[in-house]
Amino acid sequence: MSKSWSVPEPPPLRPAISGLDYEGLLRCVHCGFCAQACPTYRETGLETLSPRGRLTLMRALAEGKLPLDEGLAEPLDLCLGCRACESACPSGVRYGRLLEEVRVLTAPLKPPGRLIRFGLRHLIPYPGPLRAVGWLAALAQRLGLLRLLPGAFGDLARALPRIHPARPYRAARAYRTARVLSGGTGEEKAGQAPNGQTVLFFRGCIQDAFLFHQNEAAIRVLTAAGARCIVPAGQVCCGALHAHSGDLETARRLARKNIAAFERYPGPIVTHAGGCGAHLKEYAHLLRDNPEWAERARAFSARVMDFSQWLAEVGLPADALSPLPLTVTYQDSCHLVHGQKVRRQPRDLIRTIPGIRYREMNGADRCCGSAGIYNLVHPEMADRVLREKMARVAETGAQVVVTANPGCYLQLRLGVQQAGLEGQVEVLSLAELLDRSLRGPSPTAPAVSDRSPGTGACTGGSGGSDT
Amino acid sequence: MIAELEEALGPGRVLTSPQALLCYALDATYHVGRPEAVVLPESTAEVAAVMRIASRHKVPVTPRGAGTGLSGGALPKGGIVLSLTRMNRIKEIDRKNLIAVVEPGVITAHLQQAAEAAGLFYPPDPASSQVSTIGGNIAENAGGPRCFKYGVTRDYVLGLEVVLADGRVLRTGGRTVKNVTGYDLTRLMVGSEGTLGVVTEATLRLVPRPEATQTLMAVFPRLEDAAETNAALVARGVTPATLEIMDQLSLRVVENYLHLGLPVEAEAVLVISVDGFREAVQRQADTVAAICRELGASEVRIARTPEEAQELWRARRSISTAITQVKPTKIGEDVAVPPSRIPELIRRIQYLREKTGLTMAIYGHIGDGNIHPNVVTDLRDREEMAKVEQVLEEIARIALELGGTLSGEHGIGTLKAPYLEMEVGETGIDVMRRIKRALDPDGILNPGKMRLDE
Repeated sequence: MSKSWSVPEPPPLRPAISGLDYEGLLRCVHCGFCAQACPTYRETGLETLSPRGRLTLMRALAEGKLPLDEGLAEPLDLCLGCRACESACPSGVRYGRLLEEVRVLTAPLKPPGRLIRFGLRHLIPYPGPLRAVGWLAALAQRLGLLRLLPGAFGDLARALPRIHPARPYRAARAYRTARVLSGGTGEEKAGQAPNGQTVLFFRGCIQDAFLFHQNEAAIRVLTAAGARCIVPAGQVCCGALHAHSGDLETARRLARKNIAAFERYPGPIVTHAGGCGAHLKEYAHLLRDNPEWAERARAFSARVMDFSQWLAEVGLPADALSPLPLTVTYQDSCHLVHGQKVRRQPRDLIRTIPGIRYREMNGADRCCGSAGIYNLVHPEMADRVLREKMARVAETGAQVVVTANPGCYLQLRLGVQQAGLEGQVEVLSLAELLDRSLRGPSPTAPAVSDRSPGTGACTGGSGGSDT
Repeated sequence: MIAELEEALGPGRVLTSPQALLCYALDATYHVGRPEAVVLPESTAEVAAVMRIASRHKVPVTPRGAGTGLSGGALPKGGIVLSLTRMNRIKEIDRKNLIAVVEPGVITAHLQQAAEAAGLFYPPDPASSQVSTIGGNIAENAGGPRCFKYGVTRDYVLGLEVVLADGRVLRTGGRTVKNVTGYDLTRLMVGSEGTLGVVTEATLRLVPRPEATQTLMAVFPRLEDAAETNAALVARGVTPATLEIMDQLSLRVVENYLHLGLPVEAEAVLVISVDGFREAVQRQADTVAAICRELGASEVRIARTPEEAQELWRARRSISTAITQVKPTKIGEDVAVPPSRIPELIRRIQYLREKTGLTMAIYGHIGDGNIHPNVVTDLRDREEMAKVEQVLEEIARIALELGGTLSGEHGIGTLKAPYLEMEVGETGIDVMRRIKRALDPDGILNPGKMRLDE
């Protein structure tokens, strides 16, 4: 049989450039099953903006068939990184990891704006200054200045819930108080799990500085489920945003800090942010080549659980839940459902609340367009994706959309505002919804954030100041 | 010419960047094409405009849907890739007359959902239905697991709108099931792999949606017994909606990967589903279970809930994932033989597998005799690739010897073009080429496929 025009030359045994997992790229057999899972492909119908197309470009780069230039960087940059393609892939291609690797190379060609770069480098990694920003933001919000921010930042700022001015301070105090308690009598107050389970709570960066009420709610819920909740000092941002935007160095530095902070305690590491969880579970991969840290990272990642995973395993005491007569739908966090394969647990937890009418949303596991900082970098595409999402939300007739990640939470609040649904549709984190049910009936009350904090159940870790 | 295309379609709808050309050079095979431009028309008029420009310049045009084909039908041999993904409107679902009118870029699954919402059913169900387009399904005459009971894409196409090579618009068939007016040009176009025209609208037949479905899994210690199932079922008046077989290696590969507790000692496992009225489905399922046991099944599981049914299907659906864990390059075959010859087909392919040492999972649809021996290899291993090509040719030969065909549902494209003459003979090829020349004298439509332009 003679070779026909369409039969390709065999690919090279070794890639032309380093830094990309060539074997991982060759796993893609370009079947195309990922295409309809991809938000940018669905919006544009363009192969170059499909996962298969992006993998083809990465492979061409690895094989030296295409140069590293802006034409190559653009379609890779436009990827939301939602990893829905991983759930659709029949060949088990680890798209998220491959994307992080190639972004190390393309990031310099497509740098985000100066403000974002500054934030990623000098604020997000440092809990103290970040909280100060949260505090200033709260002040600015009160003075009506936050609304004046331009562009996508302004949109997002307007989507923020009311930040209580004292909240950043109270956050610090809560964790500090907890630290004192850990040495003394606080443990009894913390409530003992029937099984004596200790849970190590991961604070996160944005949740801590801007959405602290969600952290409070999560800790209350965990405690109600019988957990002894410890918030280890010295923990920092998970580093997901850095890894996704090509700054693996910072990502590794943050990973090492977190590992050191958490390895002093036994027990599961729980986060209620799907994005953080997915990345914390990737530490083992991130530090695999570092002899000093590889084993410690593996041990760390193995302990990470989503809030909903832990709760679904332990169960909430049924008699503690008061009815919420609400129609509720759930928006998957991409990195929870596609990254961590946690799909059932959040839904089951919502359904355990008496009185709730749960309506599954069409395409609930499709990205809302938040995607870390994507909505700041590519507001136009994020907007198209969000509009589609809000149409699906409206179909359910839900009064409450439950989210499992702070980015989705803010993005959907933005969507609600843009769709003019304020007062009709409320966005809550899963922790807030469960907390509301645990705290008893008060159908007219606004979100939990505006009530008393009650974080007394939280026990802090030893060690120095956590800021 | 690029300028003319840009003028006809408007800005942003003619792609020539090296990145785009690379992405549109591929489909789901390991073969590769070489496009020079990609166009994204949004209407029949625009497709016609593109064809007029192309025929004036005598430049090849390769129509493309979702690019999920398994025979290389969408690979461009130079020229223009005509991407139809933006013509994706479902124009009409007519409940009274059981008809759907769609544009070619409609995703198969979207049509299935729209039909279901109207209480109707569009049965063709290729494995890629979540992403494949109706236009691509028509061009390749796609099948799927439900074909024994419900037929293939061809059986659901009542009429077409087709843009010809010179840009004229042809309408074939109509909105009736019966239609014997003139040559059956609809059937000529279905499965023509984009070599005779570009489908820009399809009138499709829908059927009533079955009320219920029941799924079973049967474990057979002996392959031959499993293969008897089809005939035995039909003899007892049961027409299964699907009847899927997995051979022992498929089971082992899946079990290694997923640890589902599959019976890896069995020579074959069948996944069977029946559909219809609820009461009838229950009786059919009981009959199927009884027949499988009579034939020697060591175990029969009946799914009681949709979730359990999903679980039974999971093993079958996971084969292709599982097998690519062994080696990265997967080459999917799709020969078909008369159902009674299936045991012989599988035994002979298994013998080939032993002889060559290749990793090959054998599974498929035994109701319609369509079997997928899927080889996995590594493109970089030249020695093994040569062996794979020999095996593919040998499988084609075996299928023909058993009274079968080269391709049950993937099409010929580039992948099976070398073997075409083995099946259709010199006269067959000659007639096909004459038809091709009559409709496309310059040979600009999808050249390089089915050996039409050699």
